[in-house]
Amino acid sequence: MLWQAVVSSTPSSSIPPEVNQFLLMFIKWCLIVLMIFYVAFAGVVIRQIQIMRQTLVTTFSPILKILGFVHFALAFLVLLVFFSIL
Amino acid sequence: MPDIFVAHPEPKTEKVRVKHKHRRRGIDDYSTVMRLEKPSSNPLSWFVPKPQRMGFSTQSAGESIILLLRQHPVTQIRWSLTALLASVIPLIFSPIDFMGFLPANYKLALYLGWYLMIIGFVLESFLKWFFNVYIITDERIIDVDFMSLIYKNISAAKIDKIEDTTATTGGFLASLFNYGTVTIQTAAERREFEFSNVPLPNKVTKLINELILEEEREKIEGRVI
Repeated sequence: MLWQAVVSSTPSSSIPPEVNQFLLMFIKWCLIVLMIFYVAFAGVVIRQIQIMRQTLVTTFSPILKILGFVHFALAFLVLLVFFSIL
Repeated sequence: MPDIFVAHPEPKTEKVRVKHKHRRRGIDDYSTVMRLEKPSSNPLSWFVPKPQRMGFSTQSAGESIILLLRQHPVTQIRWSLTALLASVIPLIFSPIDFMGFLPANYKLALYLGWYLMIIGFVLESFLKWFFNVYIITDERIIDVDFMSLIYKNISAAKIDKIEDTTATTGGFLASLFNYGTVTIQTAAERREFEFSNVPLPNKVTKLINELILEEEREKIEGRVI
């Protein structure tokens, strides 16, 4: 029943409401957990940029640092959006 | 009465710094390859001769970078195309509407997550390319491997430990864009260095050979300042 719900393009109204509710809850928590892991990954990227910019010193390194922080902020923002809209 | 010999106090000997006969020659003095290259300050280039405002963590005082290499950008096409393809996948599959059973807010969340992951993939791939560098200084060759986000490896070998260099160019793209792999056999702890997919491999090999010759000349003529 669950698989049919995933693969079929029929609207949600054709799925029994209790299954629909369970499926949505499952997807919601999958997305949130995935996003938490992604935020952690974005944090590791920042740390790695810090280490590598000490290894290789270039004029572009400060820009990379900013990119790392922007990426982390974006990930955190999306996590907040997930919490608010799901 | 004979004069008593009075010894004069020894004149104070000034410490004179012994200057060596030969001073260290600049790279342009002995390298025909580098003589033709202009100093570069572009940090995003893949062939950076005599880089300016660049350095590395284990650089010793007086050691100057002669050449900094990255993989040729053509070799980065794979991840660029993957990212491009991934970014159009939602557009391709939107007519099928395989997420039709999901409410609009879930679809929005999926799209946001998908595009964020593409951004992360591009950033990580770029970082790998940017920090995976091969450095040739007037003293050493250095291979900085930035394999993944949790693994990095920095290997170095002195120029006088280099035994053999080989440039290999294989494949259609490599021939077309003139990039290849330079393999360096050394007598150092790490026996082999591989500069993968670097631009102008023949030029790199020639430069290393010139550096070896200069190192030998220095040994014969005495250590230079």
